[in-house]
This record gives sequence, C-alpha cells and structure tokens, in this order.
Amino acid sequence: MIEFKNVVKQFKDGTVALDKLNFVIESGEFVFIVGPSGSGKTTIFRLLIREFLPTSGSIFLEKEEVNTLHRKKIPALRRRIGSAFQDYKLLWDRTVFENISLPLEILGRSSRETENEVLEILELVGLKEKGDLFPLQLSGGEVQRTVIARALIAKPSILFADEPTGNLDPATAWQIVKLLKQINEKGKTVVMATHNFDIVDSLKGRVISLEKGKIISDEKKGKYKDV
Amino acid sequence: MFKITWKHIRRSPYQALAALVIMVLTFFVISVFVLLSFGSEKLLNYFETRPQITAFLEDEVTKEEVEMLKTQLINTGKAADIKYVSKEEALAIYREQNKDDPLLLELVTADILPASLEVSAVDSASLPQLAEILKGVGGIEEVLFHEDVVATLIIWTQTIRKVGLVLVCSFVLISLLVIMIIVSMKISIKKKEIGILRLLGASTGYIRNPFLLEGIFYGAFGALLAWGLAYLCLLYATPFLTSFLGEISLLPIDPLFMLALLGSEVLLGVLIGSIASFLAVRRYLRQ
Repeated sequence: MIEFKNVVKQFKDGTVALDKLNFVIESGEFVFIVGPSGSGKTTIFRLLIREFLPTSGSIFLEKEEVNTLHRKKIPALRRRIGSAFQDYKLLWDRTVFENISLPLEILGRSSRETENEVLEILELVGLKEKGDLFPLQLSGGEVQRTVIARALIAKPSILFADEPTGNLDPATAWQIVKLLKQINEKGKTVVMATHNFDIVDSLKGRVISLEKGKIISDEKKGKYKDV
Repeated sequence: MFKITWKHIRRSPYQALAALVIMVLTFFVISVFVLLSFGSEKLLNYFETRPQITAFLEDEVTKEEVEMLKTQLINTGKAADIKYVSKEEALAIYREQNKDDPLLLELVTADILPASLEVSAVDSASLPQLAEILKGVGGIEEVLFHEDVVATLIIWTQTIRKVGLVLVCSFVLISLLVIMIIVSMKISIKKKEIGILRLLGASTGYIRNPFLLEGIFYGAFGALLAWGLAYLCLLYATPFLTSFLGEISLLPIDPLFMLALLGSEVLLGVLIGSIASFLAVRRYLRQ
C-alpha cells in the first residue's frame, strides 16, 4: 500500500511541484497517474523512493513512513520498489544481461542464481535472444523492456513505471502496457505515470489526474482528463 | 565485493599500474633503508665489540713488564678488557687471514710479527686517555685505536637513518596522494553509475567498499612486490658483499628478519592504501 497524506513539495526556486496531495494505492492495484508535463508525476515517484524529501506531509509505504526513514534504511526501501525510470538510467557500456542483473548483484546473489533469474525475466519481457547486446543496439521498445526487466528482477511488490511509453510508437507502447498488465495480474502493484491518453482511456483502470501538482480527479474506471 | 574490486582494477589497467608502481617504489625505498640501517647498526656493533686499542710491543719486552702494564691499565678503571696476543698467536691470526695466499705464508715467521696488547675501553670516550698511557710507557712500538672508525660509523648510521626517514616519509606521502587521486578519478568516472546503483537500492557499503578494497590491494600488493624485489637484489649482491665485509658476519640476513620486514611492510601498505582510499571516498562519495 502507498499512501500520500497532505504532501507538499516546493523546490528551492519556489516552484510548487505537489500541493497537498492525498491518495492511497492498495496492494495489487493498477493505477495510472496522468497529467501534462510538469504536473508532478515524476515528483511523486522521486518522493516515494526518497530521492528527496517532501516540504510537508507524510508518505507511507505499507506501514512505514518514507519521509522519516533513517538514511541507512533508504537502500532497503528502494529495493522494495521496482523502478522503471523515464530516462531509463541504464549503463550503456554494459549488456542487457548485465544491466538487468544489477539489482541481484546489489543483493549479493550468486552468479548461477543471477543467471537463472535473468534468463527467466528476459523470457517474460520477450528479450530472450538479446541478453548479450548493448542497450544502444536495441530498439526503443526493447530498451523499455530492459528497464522493466531490471525493475522486476529483484521481485519487488510494487512497480513504478515513469512514462514507459513516452518515446514509443503506438504499437510498441501497447506491447509495453500489455506487459505491465500481465505483471499486475501476477499480483504486483503497478503504478504507471503517463500522458498517453489512448492507453489510459482504453484500459479503463484507476486514473489519478494531476494538474499543476494537484489531484483534479481520482476515478476507479477513469479516463484521461484533457486540460 | 572482491569480484567488483577486481572488475574496477581490470577496467582501468593503467591507473592500477601507476598506483602499483608508486607503491612498489615506496616500499623498495623503505626496504633498502631498513636493510641499510640494519646493516650499519650491525657493523657499528661489530666495531664497538672489537678490541679498540692495539698496542704493538717491542721484542725486548718481558712477560713481567707486560703484566705490570696490564695492572697499570686496569688500575685506571677505564679498561674493560686486556688481552695479550703473543708472536705465535699473531702468526696464527696472520695465517688464518692469508690462508688462500701460500706465497705470503711462506715469507712470514713468528719472529717478524710483534706481540701485542688488545685493550677494550669501558666507554669510547676513555680511548684517547688509554692510548696516551700506552704511548707513554716504554716497550711500546706503536699504538692503534679504532676510535675514528667507530665515530665515522656512528655518523654514517645516523645519516643513513635521517636521509632514510626523510625519503621514506616523502615517498609515503606521495604514494598516499597518488592512490587518493587514482581512487578519486575512478569515483568521478563512475559517478553516473554510482547514482544509478543508489537509485536501485545499493547500500553505501556496496558502493564504497570496492574502492576501499582497491586502495588496500594497491598497498598490500605493492609492498609484497617491493619486498620481493629488494630481497632478490640482496640475494644477488650477497656473494659480493660477503667478500667485501670479510669477517663481519652480516650476511646472509636472517630469514625471520626478512619475514618480519614483509609483515610490517604489508601492514603499512594496507594502512596507506586504506587511508588514501578512505579520504578519496569521503571526499567524493558524499550522499
């Protein structure tokens, strides 16, 4: 469960990225966070993984308050959330296999364990034959699948995908969303930040709409609110 | 952890080589000066324990006169030991020293060698006084004393120690800085990767420890290599040094001493490496 309680985030230059945000995401949900660029979608994600602290308010992951967490506990918090970053954050000088295995390396898994698990996840995301390639040798959709595979490899209970369809053509974007849906059906909480209204409207899932850091709607079977 | 450290080293071999070279150089200098210092100390000790004054007696001096002279010297309270070396004993010493040269042995008989008194002083400051007493009595042909040798050796030993200390301190400081710079460079190059690892949940230890271990590796391995190199040089020079030093039993050096030197150097290497990488990590890996 993710809970944001009266969360305000104001940056040093005075920009208010989030303004008294309140929402709860239950375990196993598939939630879209939608809104135009600059509406605060990525800020939610960055607050959740404690990249920075909120100006006021509280953020909870399960029963744990994220914003008061001791610095030493931040790595463990981040390992509980599968992060698919908008700018990928891949190591371009490492192969797909090496990139995906990073979270397992961090956990200290043995080479054999890592190899088995990476091969399994490569199959899930449809990159079985691409493990030895470098990210630059992949298509946009394949890079995104690599990012999702890396986010899932350590089996987190939550997957946060920030604009995973941002740079993709509609057909590839749909493949990625189907993959996320498939992951959600396996019991994981999936939060997808996007401004792709086609996908949001077609899936008829829960949609949290943001505008200038405020929630303008939160509907169980919502649609993209065009602002 | 070791795997990641090894990967760091393998991926930038020239930086690793630079770090190792400076460490080897530092510890080679340390080894050389420790061995020199040890050698000069032993040399000094050898000369200090030798009879410090040799008084050659004229052939006419009788045993009674020698005994009187001995008593006179002992009564001053400044002589620690007095040994009479007869003409026959002098010949035996001469034969032992020239046993490889039959020509020299043939030419010399006990008659042409003088008997002598070998005197050790309680402390080296009394040497000139004892020498004066000996010069003043009759029946003494010549008085030799090693005061100059000992004094020169003391100056040499002290100089070697001082120069060694300054050089060793400079090299330790340079190697500390070089390792610090190399580890800092590596951290800078990997800044993006470190940022990604942090976002993926890597702990501070996971990121920091391979860099610390890398510094320790350079220190320990550099010390080991330098020690090996210094030992090899010493073994290579042993035949020459042995004939040069003659009866001074300095070589071969005790292997236990060399092992103790290895242990201390590796320990110092680990210390230098860990301090250098710790400083780099503290400076460049701030959260």
